[in-house]
Amino acid sequence: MTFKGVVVGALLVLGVGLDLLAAIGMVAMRDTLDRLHYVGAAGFSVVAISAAILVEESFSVVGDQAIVAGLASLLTTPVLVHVTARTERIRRHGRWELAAGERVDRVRR
Amino acid sequence: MNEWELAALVLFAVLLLCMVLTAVLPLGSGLVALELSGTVGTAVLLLLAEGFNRPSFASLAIVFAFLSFVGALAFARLLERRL
Repeated sequence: MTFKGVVVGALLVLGVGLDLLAAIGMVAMRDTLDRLHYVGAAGFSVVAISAAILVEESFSVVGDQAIVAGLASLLTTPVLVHVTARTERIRRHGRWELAAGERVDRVRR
Repeated sequence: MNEWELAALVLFAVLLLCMVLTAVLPLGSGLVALELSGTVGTAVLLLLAEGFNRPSFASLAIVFAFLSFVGALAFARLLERRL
């Protein structure tokens, strides 16, 4: 097996593994905001798979389109996560902004 | 079956799981599962484009990525205002 084949295989395993991890997290978690973390992680799976295609094909038709798809995923996933978190907060509290006297919960260590 | 098709098959199973979760989970969590299925669907189309050597499938992946983004935004706004 060539070095290129090893790199492509590693990137494929990384991409598929991230999506599997996200699916397991989606089943295991109990809260919407907890589940939302896994969507962010899954966004990088498209980047890994795009990188695998780019290594395999170099800058060809498929390679160039894989770059665009990876960039699209990289740019849109954080926006989606933020919008969904905002929606969940508005559904729970009726507003996005902090109310007078409301404090943000801090993680206790 | 090459490695690309095998990866696409595994992710297709994940896609089916996401579709089931979208249907059975409460509204907020269902939206999250829908967003995950959009990401997984994009990855599946990219893998099929490489596995079957069909560049047009990669164009489909790009279009699907943007459409699923816009669709999820629309659902989020709907949930925020109406439901």
